[in-house]
Amino acid sequence: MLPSSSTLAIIIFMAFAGLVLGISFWLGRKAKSAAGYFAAHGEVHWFVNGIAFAGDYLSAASFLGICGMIAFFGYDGFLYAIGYLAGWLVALFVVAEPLRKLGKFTFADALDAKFGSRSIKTTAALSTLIVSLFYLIPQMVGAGVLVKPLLGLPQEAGVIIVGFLVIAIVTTAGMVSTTWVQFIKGTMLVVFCTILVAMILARGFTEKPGDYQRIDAAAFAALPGERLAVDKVWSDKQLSRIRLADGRVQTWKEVAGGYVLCQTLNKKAKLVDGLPQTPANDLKQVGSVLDLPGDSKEARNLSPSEFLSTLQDSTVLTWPETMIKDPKEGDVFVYAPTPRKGEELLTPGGSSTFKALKGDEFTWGKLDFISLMLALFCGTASLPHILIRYYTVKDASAVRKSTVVGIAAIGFFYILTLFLGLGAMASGAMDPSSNNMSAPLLARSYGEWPFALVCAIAFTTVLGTVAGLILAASGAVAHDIMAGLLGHDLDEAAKVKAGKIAAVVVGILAMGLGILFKDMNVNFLVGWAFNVAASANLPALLMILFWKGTTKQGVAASISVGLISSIGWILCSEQACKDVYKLADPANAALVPFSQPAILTIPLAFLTLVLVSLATRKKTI
Amino acid sequence: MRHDLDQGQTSRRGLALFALYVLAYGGFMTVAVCRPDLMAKKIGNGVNLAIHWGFALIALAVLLSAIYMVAKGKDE
Repeated sequence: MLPSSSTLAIIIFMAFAGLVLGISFWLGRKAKSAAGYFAAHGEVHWFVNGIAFAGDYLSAASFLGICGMIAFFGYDGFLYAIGYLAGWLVALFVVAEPLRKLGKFTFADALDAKFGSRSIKTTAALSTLIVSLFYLIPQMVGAGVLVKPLLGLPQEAGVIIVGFLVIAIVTTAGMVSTTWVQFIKGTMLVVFCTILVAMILARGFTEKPGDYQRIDAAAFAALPGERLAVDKVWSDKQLSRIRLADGRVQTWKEVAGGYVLCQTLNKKAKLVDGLPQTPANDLKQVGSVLDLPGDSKEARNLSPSEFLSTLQDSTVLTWPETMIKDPKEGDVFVYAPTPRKGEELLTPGGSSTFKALKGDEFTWGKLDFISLMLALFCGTASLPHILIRYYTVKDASAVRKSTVVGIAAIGFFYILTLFLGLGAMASGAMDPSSNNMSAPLLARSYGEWPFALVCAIAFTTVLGTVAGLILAASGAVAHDIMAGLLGHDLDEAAKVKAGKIAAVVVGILAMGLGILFKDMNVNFLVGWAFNVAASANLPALLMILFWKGTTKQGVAASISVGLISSIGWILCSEQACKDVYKLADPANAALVPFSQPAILTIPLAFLTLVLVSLATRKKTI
Repeated sequence: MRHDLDQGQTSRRGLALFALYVLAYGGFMTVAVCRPDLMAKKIGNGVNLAIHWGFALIALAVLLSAIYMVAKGKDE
């Protein structure tokens, strides 16, 4: 859909974003030393740090991506929420305290505490840098998605604005201000989404059977207009096209019992149903309940369980996307109205990614699901920007307390996301071409105020998370890679300076990648980041903490193998062929049988560590 | 260098709580993969098993982490 803006929304947005930035600069003005810049002097209060944990973690992916996936595919989006939260228990029970006792500022410090080896430091820092970049991409994509409807700017502009703002935050303030941005934003996000869920429950559902219109074969044959001869790529998908007198091209899909009218979008040529995309000729907003249980036409003021059980017994109209590679017109996206049972949407397997879960046979698709759940479980404890937060509070007890506060806030928010996503599914406000926009558009269905607030909060979400990530990445460069290259540690002032220069470079790199990947679901991208983090970092981290036989060569080899194998696998997967390279037949083009590598690459990294450690053991004793 | 890691009783307690969660999480994955029909079964208030189990995993995470915090707080 085309971007549209409102003055009120822009004013609220600017005021909120300005306030958060102002506070962060004011609070961060004292952080001059390396300890202050990278770890906030270890003086952040545990509760503030806990909510900041939530702020860091509830990124654009959690907010926009999970809501969007739930709104489009139902329960499958919630699977991510479950996996993201589960990862925190690995962090709390297994990694948090020993790690804190070992380290100073960065993940590489912690790994290197036992050996003092430059090779470990450099590999761990490289891994931090790459994982941070992978995680940065979806955040930048999320920024672009937000700015598009709010300020009426193209998606690329959003990515660039966020890039510059974050570079400003990180280079002027460091960890103190980043923590406060995350605290304010984490609080606002949870509070406002709770209010929004209360509004969703009060509004409930209204039956709109007229949204789904199917005509029989006779009526289809009698339709006016010129029948277009379509390429095989259209007819294979049971699609026919009719050109009307005004030039509009209707696309009809043959379904059981007749034909339904689809919407089409040619993103490159900017055509909707064959005519230029304008506010008057744009994709229609979608998402409605066709049939409620029993004879009721509407269900209002529902309790949370009534909301879920009502939707489960209803029929919902969804608009799944099919891409047609037309030889003359290029890529045309077709959105076909498809009624789906609520009970089907509220169990795993509603999306194309996990559709294998609906079947009884064991297929690659099921292995993909297990692999993703494993990556989410193991990934959290290996994310550099989460790990550095263990050094911002004063002692081990504060680490535990802040982690528990973080888990509670994140868990509560994830429960909210299910209602937000399902609320959006029935809101009639969704953009069929962008599932990332579902949460803000849901808010818009309640008026401009909620819309502007949601966008402002989500935008600061992106700012905060990106700031944290860039800080982690620049910390790795300044602290570890530079030291590795120069052969000695930098002094305090030089470290902060190198960190700031690195922040600018990483920020610019992230902007470029954000524009390159702008069409992908942000949640899916985060899933990949978790795969890479879990494969590269977790085996080394766990073995160094719990196996005495670990050698420095083993650690460096494990990180390298985990990193290379997981990224390599992702780049050869069906999902990459479809969304990154945009190939016509991604399933056949893919070199590997499933998209999520963790189930193979985590054990591979463990095995590498053990074998290399055993082989090099004598030399190190 | 390893003596400063404090891999004592408290860590074992953490690992025991962790094992409990792994069972609940692994059970969810197993049922989703092997018996998807069970996930659609309505229980209690008319909402299906998938939703109940998902919420329970979130609640369990908060509960176990709180138990761990209190227990470790008493140890110190």
